[in-house]
Amino acid sequence: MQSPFHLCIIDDDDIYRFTIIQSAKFLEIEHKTSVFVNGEDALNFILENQNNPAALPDIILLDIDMPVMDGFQFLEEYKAIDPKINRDIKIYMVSSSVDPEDIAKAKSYSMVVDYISKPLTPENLKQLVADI
Amino acid sequence: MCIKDRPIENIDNRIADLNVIARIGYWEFDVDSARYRLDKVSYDILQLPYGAALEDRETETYCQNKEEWALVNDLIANTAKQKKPFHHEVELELPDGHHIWLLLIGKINHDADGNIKVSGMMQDITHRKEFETELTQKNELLNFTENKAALGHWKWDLKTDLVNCSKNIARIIGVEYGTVITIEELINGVHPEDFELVRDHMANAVKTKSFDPLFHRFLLDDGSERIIEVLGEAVLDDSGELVSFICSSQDITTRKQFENELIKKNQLFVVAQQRAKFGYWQWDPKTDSVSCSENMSRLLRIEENTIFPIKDLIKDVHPKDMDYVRSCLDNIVKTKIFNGFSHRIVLNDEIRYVKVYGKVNTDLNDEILNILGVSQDVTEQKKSENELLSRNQLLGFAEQISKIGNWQWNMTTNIIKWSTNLYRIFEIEENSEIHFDTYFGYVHPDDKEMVRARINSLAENKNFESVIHRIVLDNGTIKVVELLATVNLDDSNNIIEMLGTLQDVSEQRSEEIKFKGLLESAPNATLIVAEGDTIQMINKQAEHLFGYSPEELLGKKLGILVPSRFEEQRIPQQKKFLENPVVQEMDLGEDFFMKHKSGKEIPVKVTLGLLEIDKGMLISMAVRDITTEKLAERKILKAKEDLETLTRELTAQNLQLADFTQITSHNLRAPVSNLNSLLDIYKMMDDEEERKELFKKFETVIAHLTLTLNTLINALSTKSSTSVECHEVSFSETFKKTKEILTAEITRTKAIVKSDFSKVDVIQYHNIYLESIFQNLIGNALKYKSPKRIPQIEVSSEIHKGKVLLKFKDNGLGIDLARHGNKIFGLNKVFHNHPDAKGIGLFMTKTQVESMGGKISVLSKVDEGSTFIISFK
Repeated sequence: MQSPFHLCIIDDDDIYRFTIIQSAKFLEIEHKTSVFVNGEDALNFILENQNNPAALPDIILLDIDMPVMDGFQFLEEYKAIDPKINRDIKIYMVSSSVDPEDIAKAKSYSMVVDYISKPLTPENLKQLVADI
Repeated sequence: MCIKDRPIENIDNRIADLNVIARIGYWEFDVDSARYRLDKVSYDILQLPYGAALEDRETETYCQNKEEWALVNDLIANTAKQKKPFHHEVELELPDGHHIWLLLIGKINHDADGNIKVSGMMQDITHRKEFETELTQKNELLNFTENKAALGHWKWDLKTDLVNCSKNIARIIGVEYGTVITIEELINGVHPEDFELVRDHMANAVKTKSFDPLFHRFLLDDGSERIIEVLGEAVLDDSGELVSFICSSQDITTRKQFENELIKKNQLFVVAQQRAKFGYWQWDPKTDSVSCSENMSRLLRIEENTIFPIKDLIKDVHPKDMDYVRSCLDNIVKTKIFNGFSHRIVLNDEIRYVKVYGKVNTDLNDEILNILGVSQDVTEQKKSENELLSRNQLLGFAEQISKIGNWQWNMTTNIIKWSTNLYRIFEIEENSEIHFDTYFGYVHPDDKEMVRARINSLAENKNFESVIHRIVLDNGTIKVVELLATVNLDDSNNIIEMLGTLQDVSEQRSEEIKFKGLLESAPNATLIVAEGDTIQMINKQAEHLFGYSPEELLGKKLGILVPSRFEEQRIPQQKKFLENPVVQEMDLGEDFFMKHKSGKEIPVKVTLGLLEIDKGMLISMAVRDITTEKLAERKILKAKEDLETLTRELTAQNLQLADFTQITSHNLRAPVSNLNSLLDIYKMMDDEEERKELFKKFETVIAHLTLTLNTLINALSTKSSTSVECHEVSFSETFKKTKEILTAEITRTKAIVKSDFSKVDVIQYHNIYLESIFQNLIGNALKYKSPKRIPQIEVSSEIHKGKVLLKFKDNGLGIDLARHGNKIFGLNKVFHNHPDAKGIGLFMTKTQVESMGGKISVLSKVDEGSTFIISFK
């Protein structure tokens, strides 16, 4: 694991982003954070850095419901480029949806490590980081 | 007992001679002394020793036939007692074993001394009897009547010149027995050609006081000619005056024929030759030498005038008849009586029938001199006889098979005749005597009245309809018979004869009953219709279905049950069915109805079938009432529609539910989870400044939550507004109002907003919803305008497939429908990273449109613009 820890948040909800960043700060996790308000922005970032693995995040917290490109659309695109990326990126889907359909769909993607229903508590976050 | 005073000897010599020829003997019985006296001929006939005492036990043995002898004694005793004459034919067995037939005539008289005597004549009628027997046995030409007519007796009283005649004669000449007739009436039937001869003979008899044997021809009522031999005896009184003639007339046609043939041998020979059917032969059995006529020798292929043995005469006899012919010939030799016989011969490979008759000539010692025979070819006769026989048999068979018997009731004589088969039908012995009561006695008790009425009506109206009734046989069997009758009337219209047939229709009946049973058990109403559309039979179900009684329908046209509007199609259909009679459903190409008695129409399905009967074709129509089916069908259709509606509604509700799930998970849970997260952070935070910042976040989340809740409440109230009041609303009015509300935006964006409601302007709708729709869609178009173009918005209405369409067209950013098509109208869905995009407008618009039964759809291209189309219900 390299330092510093790189956390990526893809979510259009600024309050949520705020709470995650605050939590990470309180958990005293030494980290760097990248934030994208929709899937398209995040995808563009990854594509730009696909030959520079060091710039890519360790963990992606991916929301489902977003404008322009939602979480599933992002996963579809990401699937195509995943083999080319020389870095183990752990993707967690974090959504307020409790729809079993969404959960099943999320878990059907091999690169999705887990599905987490919002809210993502500081304890959850701590555990996620520890798992890496 | 003195032999000499036994025989009767004082008989006129000439008569005696005649009597010898005719084999007529006289006899007397003295009642007091109980003694018989016989003349020579009588002794001869009876083959008793001349002068033997008949009453003697010793002579009794001569009469082998004890029963007959007792009968004769009874007859005589009876005559003596009751003073009635008798006339009897008796068969006696003679000492030599031969049977003879004797005609015995007896009457009572008193002699000068006052002794009561029974006297009479006896005649050997064996010859005639044999002919008779033969004729009967061989079913020859003589009929029964003629047989009966064989012998008759009459007495001609010369004082009164009147004639008393026997029963037989009376019958033949057609007078009542006992009537006294004139000699003219007696000889009325004599053949015209012999009439003079007979009259002359009579006159001569009176003149000479003797009656010579007379032969004449007699014409019977049926026109047939008979040859009669008349033998007579003159009766003289004490003074020698002629008092009367007692005569017997005998039909000797058969015998005479033979005699004539002998007499006219040569002529017959010629005739025989011409016809090639007669052969005459003479046989001496002692020397076994046969001579024959020319024709016979030709037939036998033997040289003429040669002598040959009997075996050559019979060489052509059919092998199967050979034994019979031999036994016949042996019998003739043995009995010295020529019993005629028939046999077949095989000539040129053809079988012919030959009848043989003849005479045995004996000498004084009763030794056979020769046997004369005539062989006649009777093939043609036999053929017609056979034909007749076979026809009779055929008729018999036909009757038997069809179980028809016929009957004749002569009303004059009251004699009823039945055919063989009729006896068979009634299972009573053939030829049993039949009276009206015989028949009537068999009629089933319940049917008696009907049958009697029918027969009475026949007597009155001379017109008889067939009647079917039951009969009960002796063994208890019940049969159903059909009686047909007709009458023969005389000139004055009186019934002289009733005749008719009687058919055992039990089987047909039982078939009919079976069929009827089948019909009744059929689940559907069934009509049996004959050709010509006549209703023949209906079952209970049909009565019930159509409300008619059988009497009201039977014999009526089917049209009574079919509404007239179907007739045009039904009749060709029926014809088509008859051409191709397979069981099929009647198909008139539309729903078929039949008519109840009340006029009410019943929806039905009719299945047609064909029944073949003796009298032609019947159509069976199984009629199924489909009223309930129709009702059920209608119900099902309704239910289906309801279900479809429900499905649509449920689908809509499901979609809304899905919307709500979406809303709760995203739009409610999201702010709530944010609140929770913020609270967690708040607990960890100790810096007052940071907390102040945090409270701003709280406020944002709470504001967002409030907005979402308000939107939801709005949407829920919209969705439950099934009873929303509708009013006439105008598109142009609404458009104008919307433009006023959005003036600031339009001005700021310099947008060109146009409308065209020329096609449709006014609809029935909820005005607030319509305003909301206008504001949302025009507002969206302004909000998501392309930064490269001045917004152009056009709102228009039109009618498409009967529905009002409202279109909102813009030239804005457009939406990537491939990506977002499925959730474009969801709550809080935003497709642009637009600062004001809240994802509420389209959700509300959709909710409002759908709550009123309409639909909303979108056409769009990214960076070209979008068109929202609302289709109103």
